[in-house]
Amino acid sequence: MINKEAFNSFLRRNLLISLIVGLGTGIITLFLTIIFPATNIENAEAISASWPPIMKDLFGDPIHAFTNIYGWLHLQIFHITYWMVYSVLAAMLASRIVAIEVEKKTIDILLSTPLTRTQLITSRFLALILILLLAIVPTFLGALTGIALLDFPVLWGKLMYTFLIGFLLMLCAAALTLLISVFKPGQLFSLFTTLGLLAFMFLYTESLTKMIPFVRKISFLSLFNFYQPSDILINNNFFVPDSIILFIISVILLFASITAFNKRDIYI
Amino acid sequence: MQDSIVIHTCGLTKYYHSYPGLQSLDLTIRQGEIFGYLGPNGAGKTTTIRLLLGLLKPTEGDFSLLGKTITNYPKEYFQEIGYIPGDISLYNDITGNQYLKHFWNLRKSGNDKSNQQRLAILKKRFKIDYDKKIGAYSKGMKQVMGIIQAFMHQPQLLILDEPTSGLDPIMQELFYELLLEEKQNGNTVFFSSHILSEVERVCDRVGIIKKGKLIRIEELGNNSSLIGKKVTLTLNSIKILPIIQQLKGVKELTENGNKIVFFYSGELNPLMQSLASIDLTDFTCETPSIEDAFFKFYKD
Repeated sequence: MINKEAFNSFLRRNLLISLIVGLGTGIITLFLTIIFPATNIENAEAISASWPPIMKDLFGDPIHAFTNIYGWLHLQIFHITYWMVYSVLAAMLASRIVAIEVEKKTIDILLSTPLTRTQLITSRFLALILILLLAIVPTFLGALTGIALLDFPVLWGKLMYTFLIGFLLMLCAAALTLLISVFKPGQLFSLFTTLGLLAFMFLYTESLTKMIPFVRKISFLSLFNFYQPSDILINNNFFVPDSIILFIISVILLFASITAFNKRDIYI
Repeated sequence: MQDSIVIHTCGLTKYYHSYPGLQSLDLTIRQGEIFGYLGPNGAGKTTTIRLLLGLLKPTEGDFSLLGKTITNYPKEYFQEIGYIPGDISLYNDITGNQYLKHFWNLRKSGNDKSNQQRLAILKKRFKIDYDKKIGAYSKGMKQVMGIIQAFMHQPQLLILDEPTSGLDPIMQELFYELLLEEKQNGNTVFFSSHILSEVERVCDRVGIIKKGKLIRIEELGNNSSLIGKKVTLTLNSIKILPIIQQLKGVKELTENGNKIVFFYSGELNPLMQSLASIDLTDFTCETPSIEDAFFKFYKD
């Protein structure tokens, strides 16, 4: 199922860019963490009262964000917009699994070797998982270091679980790009279609579900419905099914990509 | 071993929506044979090759490679296949050596000493800078990389789609030598081309494909059966044209000033007897080149 060379070569050729992105976001994470204002509750309530409801919907209530370091992390580090950077990285890497090979016409020689189409996707997707994990390590360390520097207690469970669902969200973005690229093997097309879909899902979760009662009932159609860091960081609600659902979605998308890729003609 | 079938297709058909890319291809290629596959652009050569490699799925028909039908054809058998695509494209961001190592590992050639020797010989024969990034290579150098990756693991079957494209005459010469060595080693070559002289030079048989249909297969050692002998007459008078036209076996007669060119099939004696009474200033009778055959088949 896994081809070592396909795994290693994908890792070698994409690791550097991922580490640069990871390191950059790690430093930004550390900076954003240590500027926690530690506002007293009275001032936070005043700020909260000045915020319109839509801002509270989008970024969370400042009462939590300005008084609690984990509420602050939710606002700064675990907000969807921050993780969109990683989703771009994930989608970019996924578009290099199949689309770039077809686009650059290198797929023919590649598949004239004993490497199967399934092996090509699974080996490279596994390498992508490793690259993404390595890319979020600096962010995790940045948040951890920031909390330690500010002398707040490190709540490992909260942090690790929030990173886990963030990571699973990236994995879904990668698998979605992969599936699109199997049907329409263009690197930019698959990348921007994924980002467009993610942006739509973001608006769907953050706006449509709040404005239209019927849409609220089908909020599960958006991936972001299962990414609720505020529940974990502020409300201490570890809703395990969210992570399981995100994992299942990424696995389904991956298998759909493999099945479709095996059945389709490859045109160059 | 000489008689074992390496490629066998049965009614192999591929439609691109309603456009026929390949129609009912029945073809048998035996071990140790260099089979030329001739046709102009869009005739179906690359479609055939991409079907054989499993990159396209047949609309109808079946085929076998190295004795295994494609339905039960494990991908490990591709270890025995070397392939050069028509429009070669490589990874520009790595060096020649890294590229070869990548394909060496994909084919799990490992520490196989015989393959290592083969690779060393190929690199010695085709002298290019293997430490340079492929992006800086010329088209010919990229073609050399394609040739080496296809030959380095000593496959039993080589599928080559216009392999000399971009090669300079010296490299072409080296490549033809390589093909003949493969034949001597009992390996099979399926060789698509529209460069007719190279097909004529190295191939044992030629299949001519036109608009997705294989229209003819010819032994190249006996290509007179294809269109006969090519006869050129230079005359003092063209009044003898009707005499020539009446001769049995004369085809494709063309007249250019005092020169008449035609293809003649059959015994030479009747022709010579007819020509004996004609006032000729020059006469040539030659085995036609494959180019002649090619133009004959494609002019309609």
